Amino acid sequence: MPYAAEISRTNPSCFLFLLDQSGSMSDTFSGGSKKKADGVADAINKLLQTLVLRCSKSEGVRDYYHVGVIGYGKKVGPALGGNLAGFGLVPIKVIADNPLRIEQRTRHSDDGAGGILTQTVKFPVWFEPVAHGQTPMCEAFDQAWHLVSAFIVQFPGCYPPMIVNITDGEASDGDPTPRAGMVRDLASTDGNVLLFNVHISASASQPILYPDREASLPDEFARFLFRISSPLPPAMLQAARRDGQAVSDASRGFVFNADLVSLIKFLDIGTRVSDKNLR
Amino acid sequence: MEARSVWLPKRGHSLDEYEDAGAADPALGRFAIADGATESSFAGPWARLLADGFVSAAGPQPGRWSDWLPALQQRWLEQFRDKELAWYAEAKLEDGAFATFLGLTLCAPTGFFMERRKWHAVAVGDGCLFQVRDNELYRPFPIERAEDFGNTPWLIGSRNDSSKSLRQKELRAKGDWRTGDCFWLMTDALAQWFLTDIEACGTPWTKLEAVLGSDDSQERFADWVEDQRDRQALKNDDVTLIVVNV
Repeated sequence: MPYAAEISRTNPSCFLFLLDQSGSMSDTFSGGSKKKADGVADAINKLLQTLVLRCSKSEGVRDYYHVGVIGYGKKVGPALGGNLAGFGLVPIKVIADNPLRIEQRTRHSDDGAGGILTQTVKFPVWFEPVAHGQTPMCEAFDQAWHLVSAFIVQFPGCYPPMIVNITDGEASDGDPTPRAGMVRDLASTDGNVLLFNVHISASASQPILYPDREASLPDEFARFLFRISSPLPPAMLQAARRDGQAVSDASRGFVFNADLVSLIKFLDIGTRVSDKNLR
Repeated sequence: MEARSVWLPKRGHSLDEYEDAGAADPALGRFAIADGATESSFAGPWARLLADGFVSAAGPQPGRWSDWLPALQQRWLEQFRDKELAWYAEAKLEDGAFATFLGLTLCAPTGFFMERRKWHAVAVGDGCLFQVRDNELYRPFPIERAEDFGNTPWLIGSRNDSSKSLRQKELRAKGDWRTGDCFWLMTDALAQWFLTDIEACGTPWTKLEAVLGSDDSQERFADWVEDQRDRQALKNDDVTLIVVNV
């Protein structure tokens, strides 16, 4: 059965993020002053933080994943900064220990007795918003193909690598559909590479998570990104249903003006602390 | 009353990374297993505190959570809170550790109450108890079907988990026991195998007894677990088993 390989330190999986850093990302979200580039930076910082925390144990961070980020805008290439500049895929522990900086943020939560608990928490930042140049998405998929191919050669039995493309969908170097198909055609012995898309749109439409048909989507870019997204594997669908997400067997790894953090939680690396236990 | 216990970490993990815990005090008739949740940090020490804390509590068990749990939560926090931690470890410490838990008390017959051989159990999550009598499964608790295991069980938190919330998560059971009964306490992976075998008309206790009935039971158990993992009959997870013969 595909998508059943155990994710472990000896058989890690891989997350490769593709970040749209083009000039169009300086547009603001409808009805607000926040730029789409801010949305992309928030999304990637949150995704990396979630990945690190899921792999973090008492003794440190376990390398269940190798992680990389390719930016595409004025240039296409590895987009991690600071100590990680120039690296393709690195073990998640290296990501954990090398954010650009760590901010102090305030978190409000239910104190369980009808009050609000205010806590200061550390928030690591790996990415600053960038919006410059064209949108060479095809070239980004080409680079993704090379990085992920090399990973599969190294770990042929891995849980299939996951590529997460965060964009507003407007490619400037041709139709990325064939390139996206080539990426999805890559496979480990456990199944084909999964391509997920996060659509950062200036449209005022409501967030959409894991849709199962393109007719329900608000614009042509959303429909394009839906078409190139992989269907969610059965185990992820099952985990999503347990979490109360409305998904069908045809649901795809695509979200519109929402984050994909929940998707990371659907991957099985052991007993999860589900939200029901956090009341 | 006699108790034996065996355990093994998940394949690919070191002994230090084993996050289950088992505790037994046959003289008091108290037995407990706990399974630290993979996703939380400092979960092994939390599971250990829970199992030991149940068995050694001053009051009757299973008692009220408020009688014995807050002290354990405090001790867990004291172990780690003054340490210099990386941002991710600090965040995980803030969330607390989580573990499933199963506690069993066998009330031995004494004096006037010679006939009153009762047992009481409390469970949060998917650690299981199987009472076997006359070579048949007499009573499973709290899970009765192999398909009912998942990877999001109810858990006891080391922080901010009150007696009130635990009353919603817990299941309690009681029953009788008689001489010759055997109680099998086990964490989820082995319990799922156990129920699967029963559903295929097997007697899994016979298989386990064959493995455990020797002087080198821990070694033989480890070999047996690895073999079951190879066959994919047993999920790769920490495994803990306590067998109580009465």
